[in-house]
Amino acid sequence: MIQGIFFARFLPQRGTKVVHQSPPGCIVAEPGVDRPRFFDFETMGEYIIPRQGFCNRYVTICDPEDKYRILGHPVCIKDEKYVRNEFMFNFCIVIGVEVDMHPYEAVVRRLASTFTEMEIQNRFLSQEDLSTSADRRSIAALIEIIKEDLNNYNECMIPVDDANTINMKLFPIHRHPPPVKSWHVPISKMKFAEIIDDTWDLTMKKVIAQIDGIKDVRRISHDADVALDLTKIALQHLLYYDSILMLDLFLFGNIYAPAPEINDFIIDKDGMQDECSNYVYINGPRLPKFYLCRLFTSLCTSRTIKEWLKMHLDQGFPVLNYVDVRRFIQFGVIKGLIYRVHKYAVSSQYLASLVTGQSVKIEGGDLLQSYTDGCHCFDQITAERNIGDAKIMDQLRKFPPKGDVEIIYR
Amino acid sequence: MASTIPPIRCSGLLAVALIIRSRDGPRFVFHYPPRPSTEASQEERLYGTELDESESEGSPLDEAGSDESDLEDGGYSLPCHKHLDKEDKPKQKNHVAELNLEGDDHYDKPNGEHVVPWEHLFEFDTTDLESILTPSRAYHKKKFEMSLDPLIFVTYPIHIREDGLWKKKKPKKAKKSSKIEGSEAGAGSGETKFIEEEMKDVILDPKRGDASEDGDDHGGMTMFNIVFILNPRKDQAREKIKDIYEHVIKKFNKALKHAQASANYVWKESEMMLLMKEKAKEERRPMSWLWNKILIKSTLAAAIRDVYYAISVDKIATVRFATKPPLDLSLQVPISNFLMSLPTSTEKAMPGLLVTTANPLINEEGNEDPTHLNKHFALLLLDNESKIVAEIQADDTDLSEPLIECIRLCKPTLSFLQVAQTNAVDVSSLLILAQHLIYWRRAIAIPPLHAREMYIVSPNCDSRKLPAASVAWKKAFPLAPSLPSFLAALSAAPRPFKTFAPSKDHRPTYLDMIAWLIRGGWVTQLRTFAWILVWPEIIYEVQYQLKSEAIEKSKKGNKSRSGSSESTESTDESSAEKHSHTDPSAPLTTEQVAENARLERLADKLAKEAAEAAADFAKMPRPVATEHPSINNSEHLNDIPPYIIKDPHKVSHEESLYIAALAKRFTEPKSKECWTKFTKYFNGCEALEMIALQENRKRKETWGILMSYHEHLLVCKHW
Repeated sequence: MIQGIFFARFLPQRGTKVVHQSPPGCIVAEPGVDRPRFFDFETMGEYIIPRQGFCNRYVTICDPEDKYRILGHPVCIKDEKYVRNEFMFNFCIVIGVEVDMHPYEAVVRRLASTFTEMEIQNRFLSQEDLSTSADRRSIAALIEIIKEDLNNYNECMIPVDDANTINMKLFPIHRHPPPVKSWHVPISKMKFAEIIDDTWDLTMKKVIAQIDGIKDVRRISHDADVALDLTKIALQHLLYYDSILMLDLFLFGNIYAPAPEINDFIIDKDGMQDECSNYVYINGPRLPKFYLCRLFTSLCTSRTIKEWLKMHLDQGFPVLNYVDVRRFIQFGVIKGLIYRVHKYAVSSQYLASLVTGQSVKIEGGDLLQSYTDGCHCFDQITAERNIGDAKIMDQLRKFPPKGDVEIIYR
Repeated sequence: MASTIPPIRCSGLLAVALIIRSRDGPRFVFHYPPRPSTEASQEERLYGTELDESESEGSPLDEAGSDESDLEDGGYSLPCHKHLDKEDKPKQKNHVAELNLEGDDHYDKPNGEHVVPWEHLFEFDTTDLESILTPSRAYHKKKFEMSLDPLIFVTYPIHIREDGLWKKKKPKKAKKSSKIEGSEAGAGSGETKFIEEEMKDVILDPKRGDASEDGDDHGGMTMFNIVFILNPRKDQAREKIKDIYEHVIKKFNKALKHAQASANYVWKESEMMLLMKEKAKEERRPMSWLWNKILIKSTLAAAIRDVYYAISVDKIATVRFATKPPLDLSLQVPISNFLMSLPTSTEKAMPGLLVTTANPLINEEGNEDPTHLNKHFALLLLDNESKIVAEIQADDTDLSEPLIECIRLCKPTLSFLQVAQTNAVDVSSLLILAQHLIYWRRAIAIPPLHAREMYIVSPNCDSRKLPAASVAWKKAFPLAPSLPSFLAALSAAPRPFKTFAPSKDHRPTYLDMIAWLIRGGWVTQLRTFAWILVWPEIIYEVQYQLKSEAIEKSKKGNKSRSGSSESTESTDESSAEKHSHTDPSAPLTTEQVAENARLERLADKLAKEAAEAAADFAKMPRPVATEHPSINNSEHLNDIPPYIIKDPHKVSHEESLYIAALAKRFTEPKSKECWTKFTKYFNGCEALEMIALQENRKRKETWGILMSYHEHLLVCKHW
């Protein structure tokens, strides 16, 4: 939220002065307005209109009380027509120190560029007092509208004169999404069918059509007939806008183990148990939620899903009759209640060769050798080499000497 | 030169500079590194717990990266205006190009201007920077944070007091003299102590109070500040700045204020550096030559360099100002030494960081308290014991002796309490020393290692370090299985650690091995958590009990009510009495008749219901306590789902009845006795492994008791 907005100029005889401000009196005292000022402008003046060396760039400064942050973009226009051959000004926005300042950066830059352009066109700023007010808005009114519109609607579209309009919008700045790997499985967080329209990118539409929470990226690329790198870019876009999640490849040979967050499920934080029942129970009789708790807590680092199902069956609980196991596991992974225990191959010989820096081809070692440094999970090998778990194990066993390759579950 | 600059990690620290305001106005005294890189801090490529760094198969990163920058400025940045500064732009560009080529040497511009290599920092002239980085008194001892895109300048300016002193004069002489005696002993040797905590504000030794008044020339210095120049990633900026400001910038500047007040240190050093610069400028010396000279001669310059190097890679900076006596200062941005939960797939990875829920900084009430080290934890040194001892000896502070003693006594297999008890030392001072070691990253606190505990390969371990770690492991444990095969064995199936040791004699070595692995974040303890699980049989028993009590009660109630209804007159009388105010002799109004009829109907209904309930109750099968309630398949229990007590600290009435009912089920006297004591641990947050220590019981016995509860607990294992 913009607390205040002001227009400051460097006046050759009087130094840095605030010409217009909104709300009135927030930066410097104004006759007839009795309100506390945000900060002492005298202290801050040197950062509002700094030395030339610091002009024409985005400058921010916090006040000494560390309550407000001033975002500005001091501009210095050099031209012989000005007194001292230069004209300096700054349109500044004042926000609370704790407010995320990044969305406002574009606004401040935009204000600087627009008014610079208008000053160069028709001395909009420097001749403010001389021009007739009929064909243009006053700057005071402009900054007031900008502040109000941005605070209320997060955007503004203001015609300034015949030639210029100020169009601005506050964009949330998202974090850069993690890289998309070919063995990841995207699952949608929204109903794409409802928001997609003809203007959408064709590749994006092809990729979205394949997202079902089961297919890995490589398969999506294949089934959508889109190059893998383009598929990844498309998915990363969706990730950026937080419209998909990335999961692991679900197989019954996978191992999952509880994380400390499992406690949230047991104590039914945010009605999680109901949410889970709605998501995982297949049509038919619904079991008491206690069984979901037991299913989660009985996962462990050395039990594959297959073994886990068998264990429950032996105890007289045919899980598959009631629960969609894939959805059950996905629910746990998405909520962070459980985590996937991945399989990694480590070849001592290969490690040794990495230490010495000699990347000698180990005899008998094949294409899989570069995966045996303990940093590449089996999912990756499966996706990139297109072979299944059993076959990978088979090939790894052939690595000489016997027993060189160890499997670490992590 | 560039090669000496450490790789920029996530800290985002680019440079550190000293700027003062003296008689001659603001002066840019010194900065380090001489020519800082302007590159934005490196992006960590890993997320979650993934380890794969490859960007095989055409990484989308670059494209997406440029794409994002579009988004960031919303697509409109200031277009480059040619007419903005017609002459300056090209000139500056020249600068930069030339600086990059031979930034070490002086040269003359065509117009005869002498360009001095150290008078430019980033794209700015130091004359510009010195004016903007000497904030006014309003910022005295406050945070000054300014950004000149893309750089952020953060500092804590120190101004001279209005009375011309750098610190407040001690109030009264009388008080002083009395104090001297007491502080003398501490002052003599204690001057070099870690001023970390003592630095709250200016605490000056009274002896040195007059140092600044013995005719030293202040050069009219009215303010100084060490400015930190950063370029953190945008999404981390706020946090990084806050950390580095609180822990480094503020403390560094405060320490300098201390040194300035006591020995005119900042001015003396600044004067020397400025003179050297002046001279070198006349002699047109190369920048590298001058910087070497300054770093040799000035301890303040060397301190700035050391702080820069250490903080930019998130290490501890240890600096010494050559005041008399010398002033030692250690600075760091504290790091957490363990993770409670794994980073999610969209969060930055922190590979190699130990992951455990065993938080040693939890007080008795279960709240996190950074000052309270749990006495049931053990100390695990993060490096070789002899190496750490040597380092501490070299520090030679007041604390050295006790710290070494603490290291000698503590073992990763013994809790602090056990160490204190066996060695007859005070546990609270032991904890303070241990906490000091932990804060300064020499040790961590873990649940005591035990051969019966289970350890698993940490899901957050940094396998990228496997090649080097394997070599180090072989060196440390030449006879043990190789690191990969040991990790493979540990990860295959969790089981008590002792089963891995070939014989009992191997156990101590194997415990050393596990200590090594935990230190490196390779393994973590698999801990057991439990909740009380109430089986239908128990629930039914309690319900039955409640019902029978209710029926008892209602029977009694009925009796008393019917007793009273026999004396209807009295009630009538009472109601009549109420009316008596209006008209005592009047016959019952229709309203009253209706009311009486209503009451009667109600009473009838209640009696009927009670009778029905009693009949129903009579039909209910009597609860039978079977040996194993979990497999009691009796028909009357079918509709009752098992129940989990979420938190035994806050139980409802019914839950407390369940707990009481369960207590009756345990036959062993010990189990019976401990049930009420132990129930508080069954909240899913307290590891059962810690109960023995907390209750001060034998481990084996405790587990025996816990096993007897097993049927009534929902158990889950995680780190």
